[in-house]
Amino acid sequence: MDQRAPRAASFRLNRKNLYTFPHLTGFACLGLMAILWLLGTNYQNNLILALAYSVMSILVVAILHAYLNLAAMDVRWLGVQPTFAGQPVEASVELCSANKQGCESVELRFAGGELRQASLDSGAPQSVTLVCPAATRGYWRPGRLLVQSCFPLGIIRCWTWLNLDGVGVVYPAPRVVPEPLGAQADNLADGLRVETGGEDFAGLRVYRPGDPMRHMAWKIFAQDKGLYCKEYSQPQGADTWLDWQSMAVQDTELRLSGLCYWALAYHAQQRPFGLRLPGTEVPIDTGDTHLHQCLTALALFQAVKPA
Amino acid sequence: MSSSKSPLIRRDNIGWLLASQAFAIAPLLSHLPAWISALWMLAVLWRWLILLQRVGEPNLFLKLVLTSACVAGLYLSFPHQAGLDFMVGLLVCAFVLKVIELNTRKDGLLIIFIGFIAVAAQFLFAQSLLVGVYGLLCCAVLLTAWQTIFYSKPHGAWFKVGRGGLLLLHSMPLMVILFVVMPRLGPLWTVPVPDGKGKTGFSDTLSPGDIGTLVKSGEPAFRVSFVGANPVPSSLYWRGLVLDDYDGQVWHSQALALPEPDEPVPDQLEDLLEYSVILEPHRQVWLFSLPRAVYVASTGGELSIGNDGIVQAAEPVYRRLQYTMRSARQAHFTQPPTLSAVSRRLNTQLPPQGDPKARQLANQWVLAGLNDQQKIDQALKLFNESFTYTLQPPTLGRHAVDDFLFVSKRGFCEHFASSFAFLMRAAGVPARVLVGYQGGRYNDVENYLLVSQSDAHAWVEVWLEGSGWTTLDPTAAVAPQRIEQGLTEALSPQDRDLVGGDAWQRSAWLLPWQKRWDAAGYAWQRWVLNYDSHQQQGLLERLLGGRDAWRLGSALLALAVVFGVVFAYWLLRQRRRPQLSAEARLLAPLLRRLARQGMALQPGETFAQFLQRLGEQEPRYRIPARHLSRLFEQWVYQGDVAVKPQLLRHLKAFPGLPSKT
Repeated sequence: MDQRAPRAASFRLNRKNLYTFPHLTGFACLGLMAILWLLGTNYQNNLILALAYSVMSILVVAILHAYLNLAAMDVRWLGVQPTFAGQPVEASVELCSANKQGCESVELRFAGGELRQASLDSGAPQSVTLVCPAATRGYWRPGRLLVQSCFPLGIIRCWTWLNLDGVGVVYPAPRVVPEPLGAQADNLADGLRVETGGEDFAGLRVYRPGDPMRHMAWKIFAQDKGLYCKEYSQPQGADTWLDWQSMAVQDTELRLSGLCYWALAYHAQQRPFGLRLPGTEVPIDTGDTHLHQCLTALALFQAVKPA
Repeated sequence: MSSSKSPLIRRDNIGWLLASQAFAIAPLLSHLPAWISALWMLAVLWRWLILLQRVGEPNLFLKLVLTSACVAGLYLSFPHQAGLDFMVGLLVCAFVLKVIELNTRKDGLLIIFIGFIAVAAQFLFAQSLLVGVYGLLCCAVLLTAWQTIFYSKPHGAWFKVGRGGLLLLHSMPLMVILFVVMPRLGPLWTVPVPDGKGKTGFSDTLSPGDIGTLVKSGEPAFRVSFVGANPVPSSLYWRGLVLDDYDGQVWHSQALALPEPDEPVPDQLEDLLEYSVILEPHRQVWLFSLPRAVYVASTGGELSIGNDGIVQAAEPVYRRLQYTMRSARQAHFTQPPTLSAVSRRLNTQLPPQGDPKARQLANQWVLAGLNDQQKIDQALKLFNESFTYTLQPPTLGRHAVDDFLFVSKRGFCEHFASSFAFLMRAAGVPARVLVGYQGGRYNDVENYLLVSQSDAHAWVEVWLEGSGWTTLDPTAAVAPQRIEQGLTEALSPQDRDLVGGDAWQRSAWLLPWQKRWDAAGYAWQRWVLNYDSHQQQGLLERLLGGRDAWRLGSALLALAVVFGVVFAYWLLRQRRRPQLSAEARLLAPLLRRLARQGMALQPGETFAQFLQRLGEQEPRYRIPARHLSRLFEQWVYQGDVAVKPQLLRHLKAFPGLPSKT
């Protein structure tokens, strides 16, 4: 299949890649023709026979019209929103019809994904976001894209499967693991300083699994008021390293998931952090771009780029 | 029925489906009981209220109740359930009820499909040119509605009609080809035929006043085209039925019941006239022909020439029938023909009593020793003296012939024919009454003779020794204009208004159009409705010069090649002319001009950048380039349509580059 339809970033739909075949209702239409023909023959009624042949011709002409509706449409790969493993992937394509009439009732779906309907005005590009099935960490390749339409009469289906040359990135799924040791050590120093200084103590919150032991509010626990955790606001300039080597878990995927979790956690706390992976290092920084950089590094760790 | 999987129809398009249904069933409603029309209104109202969200969708129970009520209603409305009207009623009911449940595309398709069957049902009841044109209109509306089901964005009504019309237009050529070349088969099984409501024509008996009623209808009876020169209409007596049994009031036909052929056959038939008749359905087995029919053929059924020279079909004629005939203008007998005893008895038979005065008159002729011809002359002389030809004769008493001959003396052709035959029989001359048509009107547009119900006529055949059955028209003795110029000329002005279709005929400016319309209808009948396997063979032979397999094969191949070439040309044209945006089309001439002079638009360069580059390279372009750039941006990005003429002017006036010599 890949040989017949090689990958490309964009496709123009034409007679080389469009297929037409009667839809189920097309066979119902043949049945209608048969009924009319029998009526016309039994009553020796030429007008009814002409009607039967009209239905037949409409069926034939519908093939051309169904083809014309999709022909001269450009399908271009736009990109994919980064997602976490196990979540549905949202990929976008851009459609643009050079038809004078535009394009009606076109349905799109990546293999295994959800069907979306669109209609295009002539010459006006339109982007469509398609939901694809969940993927695993690493590079993500879209399955083949189905573009189909039963317009104008619903009796002929015109379709094509396109092999769009797009690549996306799927981050590891965040999983809660103990905080990496390196970060902890740095934190400890900070924490001590904060504790002695006292001015950066931000408040208490309910304990969540994975909170560092040294932040536990033991005094409150001792008063039987429940398990609380002390929160500290991070002073600017304090730096944290998320290090592959310092992860408490051994499994590669689990480690990556853990690093992902902590990267997200630090990002949420607006705490600068850096990432050290075997062979890769992302310097300490904050912000969305930085987070994306780190998560991409995690996603592509030891991942093989698809051909 | 409606599955949740099938997408919904856009609401603004449901109106189209309702309209297409209205077009498809409107002509059928007149054949069906009124409650079906009411049901339809109700269903449409219901659908409308659902659209307005005033009422909800019907539930299953309600649907079942409605369906069974309809079936029950149909059983009550139609006494014999196997009839065609019952079937059509069932179809229309199902069609109408489907409207209540019309949401998804599947529902819409079902409406369209039943719509096409409803159009076919229209053609079962009538097939005139007008009905054909209306059917085409129905197809256009159905196709428009059909594709609106699949629209996913709003469009204007004319756009939709245009797309529907285009689909119809594209499918017509193939339809015509299929219609012409697809083989025709005979009926595969017998089917119910429409009930005979409101049809005019003869019955198989004749009582006073019958033909007088018939001529009030202007409907066509049949159309004839002759091979060779057209005979004069007044000479044409179209024999329909021979009535040889009189019971004192009504003439009946006995000849059909005779076991053996009883007609003397002339051995010399001269001057054969060949003609082809297209008969409107009249639900009788007997057909119309000129006297001395010798040959009949039709592809529409088995026809034969009966005992009394009447042409008969094997089954009653329920649809238009075309048949070809040959009749002899003259016949000679080498041996004097003889009438068999049975026939003589039958044709001189009178009821045992009644009409004493008429019998007495005839008896006088016999006693006076008049021969047959003299008796005829006496009778005709009687009619010629003091009788009036009128469409409004007074009612006759128990002695109908006496009342007419001696009291009222006013009558129509059947009165003359009936009393003439009575007198002849009473005088011992074998005589019988003929009903059929006399005359007709030529249509010069298509060169055929139109015989309508107002040409209905009754006359007499008398047996003369030596020459056999001889046509005699007593009406000609009273009102010769009837025979020469047609019915309206023979009648008084008051009577004329009673003749069917005459208000049309008399307005001079309408007449040519009426003739043209009838001619179109005749051509329609001949070439479309009667196109059968026989005509198909003839046409193929004429087109291809034969019916061999290789001719048919190569014709189909040629047709396929033509289609292929057209398709390939269309594809190539599409490829050669890439679709450009409106902006690109506008700029193309200037860009081509500049490119020829060595200033080409670089790949990836916008038009504005290009103009700027141009201005930088060549100082004299700076000002026109800036103007052009501003106008272009105004047009493209601000959508200012008014600026387009100015932009075009600037594009055209943009100076060329200095030549590089």
